[in-house]
Amino acid sequence: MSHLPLLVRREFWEHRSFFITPAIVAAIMIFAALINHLEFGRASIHLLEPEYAGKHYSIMTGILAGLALPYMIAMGFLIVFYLLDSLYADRKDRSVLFWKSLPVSDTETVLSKLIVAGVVLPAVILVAAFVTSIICALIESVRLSGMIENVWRVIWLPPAWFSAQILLLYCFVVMILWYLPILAWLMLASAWARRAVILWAILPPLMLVLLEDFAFNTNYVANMLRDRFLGWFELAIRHDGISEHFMMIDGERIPMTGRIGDALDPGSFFSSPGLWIGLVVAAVFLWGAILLRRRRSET
Amino acid sequence: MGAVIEARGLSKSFGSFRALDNVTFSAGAGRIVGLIGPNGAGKTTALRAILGLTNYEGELKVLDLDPYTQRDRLMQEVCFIADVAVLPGWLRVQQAVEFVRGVHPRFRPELAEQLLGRTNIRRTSRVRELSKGMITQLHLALVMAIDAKLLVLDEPTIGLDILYRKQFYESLLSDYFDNERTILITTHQVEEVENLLTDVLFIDRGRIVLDSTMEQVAESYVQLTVNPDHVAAARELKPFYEREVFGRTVMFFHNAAADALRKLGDARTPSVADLFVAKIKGAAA
Repeated sequence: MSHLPLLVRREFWEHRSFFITPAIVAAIMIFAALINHLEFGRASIHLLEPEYAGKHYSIMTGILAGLALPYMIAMGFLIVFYLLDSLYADRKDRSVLFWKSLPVSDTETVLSKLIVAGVVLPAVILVAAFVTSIICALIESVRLSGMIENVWRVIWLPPAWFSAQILLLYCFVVMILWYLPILAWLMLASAWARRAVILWAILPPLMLVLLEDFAFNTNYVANMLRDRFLGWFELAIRHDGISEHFMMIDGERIPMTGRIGDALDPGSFFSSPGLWIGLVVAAVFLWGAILLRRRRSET
Repeated sequence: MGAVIEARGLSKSFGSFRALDNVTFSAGAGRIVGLIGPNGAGKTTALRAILGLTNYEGELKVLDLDPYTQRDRLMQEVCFIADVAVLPGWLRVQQAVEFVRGVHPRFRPELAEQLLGRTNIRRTSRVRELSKGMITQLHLALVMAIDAKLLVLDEPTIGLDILYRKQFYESLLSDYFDNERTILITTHQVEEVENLLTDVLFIDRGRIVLDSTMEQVAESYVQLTVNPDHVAAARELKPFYEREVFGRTVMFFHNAAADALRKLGDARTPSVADLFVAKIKGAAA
């Protein structure tokens, strides 16, 4: 995989959406902060009220992590559409013949694209979200500094900033690992389809669900899919932990104690069969994508 | 080293259509082989198989490698231009050079720069901004800067104007070709490459119709423009194909007595294009 850095750069040359998407999200969030629609300054101000004494840190962590939410949604779309295109676009414009004229193996090509989707893009998004939250926090601090005392002390709480980044990093790692079979499935569809990749990605699982419902009146497949989309949260984050630490932004009285580490449950996540079964399925899909990549030089 | 390309019993079917039907041939080092055939004859399928772009039945070794499973290793020694306009539109010229330099151990960037310097291509342009001819020039510059043992060209000059075509083949011979390298070329413009070739390979309906060196062609094939008085006598010598050109009968002979033919009319070595037509039509008749 000595070509990996260059193969990754190649993807950035091709996909301007890698730059445009974070830029658009940043622009929207900064604009929202400027016209005072982020509300996060006001939420933080509650922290100065006496009943939140001592809980300041964990609430602030939740607010800061929450600022990354628009980025996570954008990243979802970015990765899905990137992968749908990843092994299809160059067959469509026939440039696959150029790429295949170079001494890069199909395995390298497929893996480099998976690494872009699963490692490089999340890292880019994480950094972009961090920088944007600093800019938004600055805007809020400046706006509120004239009205409220101590606002700088409330917002710029280094442990809360640190914890928020740890929480986000943890969620990214967990989500990518949990969603890996989905990412690999998208690549398989992309390597397979001669047209309409998105239909090849969606229809087969949908047909399975409907068929099972008609034939047996059961919904194991549907449940399995739902679990694949949502299951990571229950495994990796302590339920009571999350409600104790982060569910509060609106000033309601919810007891909050403890630290960020109490909310994370990597032990339960990494020991769950669902994770490992998913990784095996992902490996099978990837292997299929590599074989198809070798076989198909045209749409 | 043995043959650069060694195919034995090579077959490939698409459904019931046999694109390659039990094809056997080989190409040695230092040869310039023209693979010539009508559309749908199996030319492209044969090239695809040689380049590892498609699977196949039968035996095929290129530089002692199995193209389909060892494509990445093979491509260190082989370069090809599969067709026109396969460079992606979003790629910038300098990115193309940078990428090939990064992945290809035998790429000589100075040479690519030198070849690009002879064109009007700007380094910052994207491929989609270039004309068809410029894209081909760029692709050729990249490929000719690779020090490969086998160069495969599939219709390399489609989209190029006449001036650049001539220049392309001249530089192919003077800058690129030496006695170590092998070039496999397919083109519709047979006349253009005729003087370059050392070997010809005719393919029709998935089968090899002729596999010969140019010397052998010159020695064994005769095109005879027959004197009207001697048509019957010439037919006695069993031409494998004949046709009418401007009211005169032209016959094609294989391994016939040259002296006898010369008395019957105007005898010469057929051009590759004429020989090709004669072979295909003659076989069909």
